[in-house]
Amino acid sequence: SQAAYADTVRLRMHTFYGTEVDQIASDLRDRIKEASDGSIRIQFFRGGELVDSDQFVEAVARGSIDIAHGVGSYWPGTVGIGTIEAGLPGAWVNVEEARDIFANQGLDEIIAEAYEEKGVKLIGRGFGSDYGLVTREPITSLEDLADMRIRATSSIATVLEKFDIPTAFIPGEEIYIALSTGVIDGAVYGGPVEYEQLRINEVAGYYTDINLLNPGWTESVLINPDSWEKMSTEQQKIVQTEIDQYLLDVHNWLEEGNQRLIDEGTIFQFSTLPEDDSRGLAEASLPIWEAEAARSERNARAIEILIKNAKAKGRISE
Amino acid sequence: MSKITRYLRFQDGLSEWIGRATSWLTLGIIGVLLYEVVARYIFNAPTVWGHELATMFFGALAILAGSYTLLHRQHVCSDVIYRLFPVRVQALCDVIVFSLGILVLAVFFKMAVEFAYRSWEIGEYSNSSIWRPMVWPVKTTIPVAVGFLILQSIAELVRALARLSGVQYDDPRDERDEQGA
Amino acid sequence: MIDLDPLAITAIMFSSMIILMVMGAPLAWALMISGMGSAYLMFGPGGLQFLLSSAYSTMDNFLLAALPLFIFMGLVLERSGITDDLFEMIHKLMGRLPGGLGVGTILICALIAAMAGVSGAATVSLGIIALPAMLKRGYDKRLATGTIMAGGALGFLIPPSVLMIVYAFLARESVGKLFAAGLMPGLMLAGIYMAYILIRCRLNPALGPAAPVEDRFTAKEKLKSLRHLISPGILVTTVLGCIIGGVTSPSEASAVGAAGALIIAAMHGRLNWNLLRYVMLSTTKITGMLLWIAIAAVFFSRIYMGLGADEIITDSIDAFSLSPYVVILIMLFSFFALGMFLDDFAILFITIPIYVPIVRDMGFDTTWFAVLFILSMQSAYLTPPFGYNLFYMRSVAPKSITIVDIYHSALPYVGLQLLGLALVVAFPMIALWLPGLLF
Ligand code: NA
Ligand code: NA
Repeated sequence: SQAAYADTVRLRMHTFYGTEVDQIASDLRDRIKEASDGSIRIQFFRGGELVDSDQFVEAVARGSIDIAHGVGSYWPGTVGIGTIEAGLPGAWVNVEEARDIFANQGLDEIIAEAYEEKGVKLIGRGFGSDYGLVTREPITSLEDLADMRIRATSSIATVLEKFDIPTAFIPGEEIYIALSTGVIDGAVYGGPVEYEQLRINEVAGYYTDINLLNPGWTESVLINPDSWEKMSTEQQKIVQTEIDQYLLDVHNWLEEGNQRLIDEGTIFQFSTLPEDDSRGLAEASLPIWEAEAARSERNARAIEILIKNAKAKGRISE
Repeated sequence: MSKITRYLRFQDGLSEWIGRATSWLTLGIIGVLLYEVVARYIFNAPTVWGHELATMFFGALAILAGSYTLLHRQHVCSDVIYRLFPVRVQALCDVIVFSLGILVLAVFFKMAVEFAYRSWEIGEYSNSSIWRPMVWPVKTTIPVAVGFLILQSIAELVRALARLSGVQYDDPRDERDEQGA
Repeated sequence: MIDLDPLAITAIMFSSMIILMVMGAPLAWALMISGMGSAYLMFGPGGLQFLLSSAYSTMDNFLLAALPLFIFMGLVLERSGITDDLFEMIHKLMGRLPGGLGVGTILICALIAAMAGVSGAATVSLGIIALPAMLKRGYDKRLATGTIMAGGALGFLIPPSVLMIVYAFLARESVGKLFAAGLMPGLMLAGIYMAYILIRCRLNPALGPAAPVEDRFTAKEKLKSLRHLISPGILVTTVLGCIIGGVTSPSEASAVGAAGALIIAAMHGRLNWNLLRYVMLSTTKITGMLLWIAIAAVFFSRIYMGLGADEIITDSIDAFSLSPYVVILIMLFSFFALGMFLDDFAILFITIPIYVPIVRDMGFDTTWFAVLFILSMQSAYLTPPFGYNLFYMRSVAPKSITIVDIYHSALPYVGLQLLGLALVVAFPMIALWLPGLLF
């Protein structure tokens, strides 16, 4: 039981990750406490503990929690730009490119505007890692998938459906059992690290890089505007800096974990989709870009940035 | 028939009707899931809507059943000590509990109305599957259900107040319980 | 917003909840009122929003959609006439054995448990059918009632299980894995009960007399009576087979089970509009009861954790430098103590969100802990003063059986349940072997 100082700011921060980021979160808490001379205290909550991840924007806006660390694809129904923010198939191929699009080509500004409308402030951008397909049987091409049922959500499911690959939605907790019994034959859920954590490798031993988008998702950190305003400029700077470090730590942890598992090559048999198939998938995803652009004027501006970038990189022609 | 009896008869009838209408959702969930299983296992063509529609039916059933459950006094309580109190004290306890309950539910109702309205206003859709259905219909069941629960709670409060003040009235619920038994 | 230390928060939240419950408030009301009060006083207006988000996240959960369906299935089976047939079979097959009807009752309970997700189905239907038959045969009334209540409680341990579904929802476990983990402990417990009945009736045959000579059946009659196993056998195989064989997820299997139960009722000529309406309405009432507790309890525990009060538990573990097994024992003791006064779902919602992260951090298998919890809840169904199976039994038992008889009859079985619990604590493989094998 510690006495409360009038100038102590307590911030409830909620992530969508589970226990796996405990150490990184605890480092964040310590760094912020130290840098602010104890004037900022972070109380950290894991995925699902206080608020469901798809309710983060609402919860931050209403002040139930102060800071949320989530992914835009959880809430495109609320914040229309969420799907684009999380990552459209074919939008970027490596983290440097993604970082450049968000920070230097103006994407983050457009996104921040969308969040502001919903009453929350965007203060951090993180980048995920590999996002691949696990299957019970080895696959060498898209054709092999035709008679498999794949668990996928959102944009990936839309692309797979275009190739007549049946998709199904199974909650994360049930993927293991569903794969082991054969309710589904494969899943697109995360990278090798995430699959290892769910012990998916015990029931589906084949990991295929579909080469559509890398990093496979981006993460955002949102703060309640009142909680932000009540901090001094110096405190704001501390929070911003340390959150950036936290997001980088998460990204590095994922990247190192994935690379280690790929190098070891023991838990999965790794393969990559043939280039033709990847190109086919990328082409099939262009209608998704168009559909997203058609959702709003703001989305159209965001898609324009992505198209300009892809053209500059020579991935799409006129 | 006293005014209280007439009021209770009307309110109980309303909750009874809501419960009966809601109970059809049970068959709805069974039907949707069976269809999904057949479509996926036999025809290898899972629907895009099966799981989410079943979940929506379930959500509506769960929240809308609240007032019906209260009408039939099926909300679990541990009355080991409560039963030892004299009738008047029991009535006083009920008055306190249901007054506080109505207050809490009123706050809940206000938030739920805003919640559903915002969802409708922006045309919020769900992103768990590529079906991407609108979510305001299921979100709207929350204020509706909480509203009906407040109405039934008021009836429970009226009953408790009548018992506390010793007003005699015929409780329509007793009649029905006898018929049911 | 008031800043309080965790101990004060814990004291305020739990004591206000308990006072409300003593005042006869339904559990859901007690949790909502004390949660809302604490949220407003200590969290500020932002905390109130948690009630709404708890409601929506409980409603928007596919795993929970199986809940009403397994309840539906249990209610249909209770009225389908299946129990009459099974008891007639037991009567013919095992009547000659001292205590045979008791052993048979446990077998029927295990079979019903494998079809239904709740414990009421077996307790009520066997209370109506098996209890009068056993009493007529001169069975000791306490042995007979205890057997039915303990057997009925197997409904939660042997899959499918409504309690496991809600547990999985709260603790983010896999439903299928929990189902698999419950089966062996459930069968083990059934075996312990049967051994107990046989031993006691061997020592004192007056407790469960064998059938008189004129009431015995030919081998052909016995063989013929086995046909009653066919329809329940098919239903059990179908539901569990659908899960294990990959036809359906555990949630979808509930729909298959509900439809199968309706077919069985139709085969017995019991399916009619009245039965369907009764089942639909009862399912609605029970779902309303469970889900409103779920909403209120998720809200309450989120407020509690949001205030940082769960630190008090982790702190005291550190402060007393308790060994992990001592912590587990304390948790099990708390389940048992709460089980005397509270409903199983209430205990689940109040303790599990707080306990599971601790159990995980201590490095224990959380599936194993889930089975320990379910085993403890079986005792909660039998321990006076508040126990569902005691109430179910009271509602169907003849007047000659007093409430004291019912309380008394449950005690030896509570002892056997604790024995079963101790075995699973000592040998986790009893629970973990099957899920390891299957998945
Ligand atoms: Na069961
Ligand atoms: Na009990």
